[in-house]
Amino acid sequence: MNLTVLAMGLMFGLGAIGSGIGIGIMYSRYLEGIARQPEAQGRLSTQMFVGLGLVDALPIIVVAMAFILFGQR
Amino acid sequence: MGEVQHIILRVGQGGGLVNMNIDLTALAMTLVACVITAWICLAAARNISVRKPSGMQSVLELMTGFFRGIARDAMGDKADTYVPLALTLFIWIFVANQMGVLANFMVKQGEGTYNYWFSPTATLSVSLGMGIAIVLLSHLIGLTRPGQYFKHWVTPLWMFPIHLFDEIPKLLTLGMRLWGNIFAGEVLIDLLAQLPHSLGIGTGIATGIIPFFLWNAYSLFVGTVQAFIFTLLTLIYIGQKIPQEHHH
Repeated sequence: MNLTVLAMGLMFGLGAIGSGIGIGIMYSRYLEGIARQPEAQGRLSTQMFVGLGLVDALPIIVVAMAFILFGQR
Repeated sequence: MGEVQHIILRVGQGGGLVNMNIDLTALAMTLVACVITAWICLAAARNISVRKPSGMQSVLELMTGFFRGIARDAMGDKADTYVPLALTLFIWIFVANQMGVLANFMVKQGEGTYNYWFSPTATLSVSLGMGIAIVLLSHLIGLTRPGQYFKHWVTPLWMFPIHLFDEIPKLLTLGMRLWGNIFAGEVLIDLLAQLPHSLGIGTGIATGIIPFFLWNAYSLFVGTVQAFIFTLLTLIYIGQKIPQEHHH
């Protein structure tokens, strides 16, 4: 079996685990915030999207790198 | 699948001072996205009226108001200067992201497969270039008040390396996130579209058609969200360089 494929699988999986935990924590806190203070939803959702962008960045970069690795195999 | 190539102009490969590859296809796609953006905005601005706004006019006005609100949150009373920048960025990135979802032309020519129609933002040089441009712009805007700008770097003095290191994640979160999202989406669309070719027509269509349409729909959503996040981060990064009352 080609080791590149194994590396791709590891990259996908570990990236998904990390970002899944991160986004889960962030979103649960966001919902708590809305539940406590419904009128803050507008500002909270803006900040939440920024956090989503930051947390999202790393795994998706890793996925794109994995695709490039796959193309150069 | 083979290597997918773009048409590349090689400048000064002899080892001189100038030594670079210019991706002509990405350049052309960038220009096409610019033309579509300009056409959308001009079409929306034709026959504008206060009493009977057309559909496009209403959409653009809504978006302007939306980004003005975000900009005021991010940078206070000097926000209105940057609303046109935010709106231009959003519409251009939105158009650019959707271009590759709607169509993706690959032509087999000789050795390689050439890609002639794709999202310009799926090219690393375009996305990262935009990120670098935005970070540079934020520093230039900060430099219009040199005193405060340089004071921010060295208060306190030991924080200087941390401030310096702070600029790298900005490039990552602006440029590489946009590129990664759009590039990964396009690769997956290509893989799903090539299933009938690689698995045989019957099995390929049977297994691939539902994920193909689902992923296309999801790509439309991702393209919009990424355009929004890029615009939002731009406003926030520029807002950090503008001094405000509640300075932290």
